[in-house]
Amino acid sequence: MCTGRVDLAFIFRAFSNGKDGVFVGGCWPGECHYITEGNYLALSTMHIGRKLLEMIGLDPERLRLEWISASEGSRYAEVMNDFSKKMKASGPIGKGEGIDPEELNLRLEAVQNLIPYIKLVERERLRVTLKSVEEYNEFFASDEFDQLFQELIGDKFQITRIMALLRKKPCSNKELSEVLGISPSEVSRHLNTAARQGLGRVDESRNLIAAACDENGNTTTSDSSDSAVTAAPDNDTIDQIIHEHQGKPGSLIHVLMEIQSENHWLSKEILDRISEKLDVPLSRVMQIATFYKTFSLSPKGRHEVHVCTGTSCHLRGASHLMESVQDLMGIRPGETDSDAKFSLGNGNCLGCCSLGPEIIVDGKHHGRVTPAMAEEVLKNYA
Amino acid sequence: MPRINSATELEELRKGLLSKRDPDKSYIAICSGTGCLGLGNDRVITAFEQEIKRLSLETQVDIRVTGCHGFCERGPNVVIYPEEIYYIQVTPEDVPEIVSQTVLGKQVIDRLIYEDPNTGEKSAYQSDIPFYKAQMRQLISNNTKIDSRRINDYMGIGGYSALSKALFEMTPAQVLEEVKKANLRGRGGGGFPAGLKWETTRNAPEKQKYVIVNGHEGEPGATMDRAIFTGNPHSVLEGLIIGAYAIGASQGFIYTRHDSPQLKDNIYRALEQAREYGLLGENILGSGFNFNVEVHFDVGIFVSGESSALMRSIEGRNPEPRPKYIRTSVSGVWDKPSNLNNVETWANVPQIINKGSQWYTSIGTERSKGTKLISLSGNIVNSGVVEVPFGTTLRQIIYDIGGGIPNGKKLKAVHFGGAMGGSIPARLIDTPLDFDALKKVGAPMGAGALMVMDEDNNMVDVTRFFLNFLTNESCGKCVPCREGIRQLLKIMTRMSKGNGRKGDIELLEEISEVMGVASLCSLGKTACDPLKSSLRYFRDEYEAGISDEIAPVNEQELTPERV
Ligand SMILES: Cc1cc2nc3c(=O)[nH]c(=O)nc-3n(C[C@H](O)[C@H](O)[C@H](O)COP(=O)(O)O)c2cc1C
Repeated sequence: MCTGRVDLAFIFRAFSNGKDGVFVGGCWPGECHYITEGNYLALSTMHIGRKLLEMIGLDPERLRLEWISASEGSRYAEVMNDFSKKMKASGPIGKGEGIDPEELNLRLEAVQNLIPYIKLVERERLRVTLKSVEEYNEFFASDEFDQLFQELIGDKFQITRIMALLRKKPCSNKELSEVLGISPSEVSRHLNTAARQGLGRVDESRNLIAAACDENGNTTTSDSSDSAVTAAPDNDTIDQIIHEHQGKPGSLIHVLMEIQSENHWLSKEILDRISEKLDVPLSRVMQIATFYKTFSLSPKGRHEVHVCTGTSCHLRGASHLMESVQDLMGIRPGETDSDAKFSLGNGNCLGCCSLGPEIIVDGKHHGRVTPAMAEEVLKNYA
Repeated sequence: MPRINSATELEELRKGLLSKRDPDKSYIAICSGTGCLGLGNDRVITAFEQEIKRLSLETQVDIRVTGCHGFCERGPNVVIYPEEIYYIQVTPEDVPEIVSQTVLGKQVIDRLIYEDPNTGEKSAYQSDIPFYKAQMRQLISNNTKIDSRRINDYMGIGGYSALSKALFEMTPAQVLEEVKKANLRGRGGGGFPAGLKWETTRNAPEKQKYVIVNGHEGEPGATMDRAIFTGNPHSVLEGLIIGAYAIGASQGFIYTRHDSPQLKDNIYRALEQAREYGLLGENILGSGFNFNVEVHFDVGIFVSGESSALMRSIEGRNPEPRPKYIRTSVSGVWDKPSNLNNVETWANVPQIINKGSQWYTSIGTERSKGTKLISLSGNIVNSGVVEVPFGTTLRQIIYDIGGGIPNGKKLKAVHFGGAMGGSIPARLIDTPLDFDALKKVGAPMGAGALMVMDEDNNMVDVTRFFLNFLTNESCGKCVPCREGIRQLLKIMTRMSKGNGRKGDIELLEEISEVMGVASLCSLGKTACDPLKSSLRYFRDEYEAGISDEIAPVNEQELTPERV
């Protein structure tokens, strides 16, 4: 078949079946028989495939693409001899890299699960319309590609692995961090994303995270002693807030604002209830709830922390303070750390310019804070 | 509280209040503005309350929890009346001493008074402190005298007498005429004459009209609206009711911030008290005029301070601006004529009615009348809220009132008008405070947030900061604004790292120009103003961000990013 038709899925299926190397050979660029320039597609696939191998700790050389036309028999022999020699030297897949077979299977499975997504991403965001092999190679070796790959695929891969572990049993952040070999702050960042997508749920009382559904997307309904669920919103309070504003035009923002300040976040159930009680379509509720930064669609930590990023504080060095706070908490603005202790907010100017730069915790201002003092301030909150 | 049914009853109530009050009675005014609150003045307030109770002085000494005094830098501030002794940086531990020595013993405690860091000269009285001496405090002066939670304190200083005068001695047309003659210009940013706007709404054909207070104050570093609205909410309300009378509106809206609990409480309390007195509702003061007010909140996006966006928000919709050919003063909230003014604009109205337009126009410059509140911040010795007449030079504000630049640094630039304003270099600080003069030099006043930059501040970084702010605050409805700011930010980010490319500056200018003509509302139209002004005065700093080694900009890169 045309090299352009060799799908990433085929390549990784071969690795999953225990093959030590995959070789793709085909027409030279510029000699494609079709106007699709399929061999450039193959080149993209090869670069992405190698990057994926690297990501899961395998030797990227296990995937090789060569340009060999039908008339180049001797070149074919040369290349194949070289490839088998290299593969022999690398050793059996996984073993050569020192990866435990079971772990290797998990990783390959995670990548395979990601392939449909990668193809989508590739089409939308990694597709390059370059004209020469050099340009391709340059692009795939660039920092820009690295960054895109990390953002689009690297993070997704970690989330897929986390979800695979969580489907087996609820885990704590620490356990996940140990198994995956990434830092707890990275784990919490991924968990935040997963929670936002409705994949995971946090059991606050036990500090555990559980999967919200199985592989097929069915909601997991284990009994309460085993499953982890978020604290249910108190319907009475919410109904009362809705009741106070019912019937008034323009009450939607008021209701959302008051429930946000009462409950600190707006769950799917709450939004449904508001939509029903106020008789406003859910799409409109969502439109407002997602428009403003003030509204949170994921649970908040016990303490809400803001670093003022107003102009005056900025001139007085707030960006360094913000960095120091982010380092200490291991999260970025808009996120909550894994033990649900702190949420870091986007600090709007609260008008205490003479105190800048400042950290505001649960509405209490700590003024004239240097980056080095941040730890001292945050230490007081448990 | 009894309902007041006529102008005479209002005056009698006032007389009654004043006669019960001993003019020599001591009172302790404790600043409770955002700055002092942040410095822990709540503990100072409690300490005073406990001390007064412990010594059973409740009948002799009054405690007033007041709005912002303006001198935020040295807070928490406490003033002891009737002597007007001004104490700074007061802690709860100082309280027993203040009560025994100063309130009872009439003696000044040396360690708590202001000492000029340069001359070493001490000032015990508010009026002697340089920060206050150089100001002209018309709107904010009462902040140190009244407890913002008590309508009777406002009554005691002549509150609602302007309303009574308007309702009983003037026709709506006369009120409008007076405001027009005073040439009151909007304090929210544009400087548009309030009288003209009122007139448009008044003359609009629809019967149902609205008046609105814009208390959104989303400009970072601007705190003066909060200072008045929290500290003296009735002055704004009184202005609003007078405006409604002149315009013929029976319904008003207050649009303000949700993130300041004190502001929220004070507004709600003020409305309730005004209703009980019959200053709001049906048949106000027995005049036959009806007017009600509803409160709405911004939940945290800058663009919702823009007039048409704000009105969408009052309707419970997303705050997305409308094209400007439909004027909100003709078709605003629920498509009815709606007159929107800033908090400070409304607060000016009662004094114009009370003292007359002639008095008002005697203050200020030829085309900018009255006083203006300025919030001073950034790298300045005395940050805080100040009030000066128009015509005061920026030099006077920065050095005489603001005390200059801290840490022996040099003044580099001043920035007015926040993310949609501009910066001018130190050599232009003899420019007077004036809507038109400042606009001409490239630093339009905006709402009045004056940001002071010292030699360490980099202009490219400051501009980048504003663009970064605006990327989050643009509503995203129109493309030139949403995408333009993003592209500008991208270029500025590489320039601030020294990785700018040849042609970047020209590209910045080109994008700014397109945004200026093609954006829907002023946010997009003026988002490039900081950029333009700093390019005008600090072009060398931009040039320094351009690297010779990096290939020139390729036009194609601007088209949708390959991400
Ligand atoms: C993006 C944007 C934000 C604004 N924010 C405010 C604000 O926070 N407060 C305000 O009074 N005016 C703000 N304005 C100006 C208002 O649109 C309007 O001009 C003003 O409230 C009118 O009142 P005035 O005539 O009394 O100044 C903003 C304008 C724009 C374009």
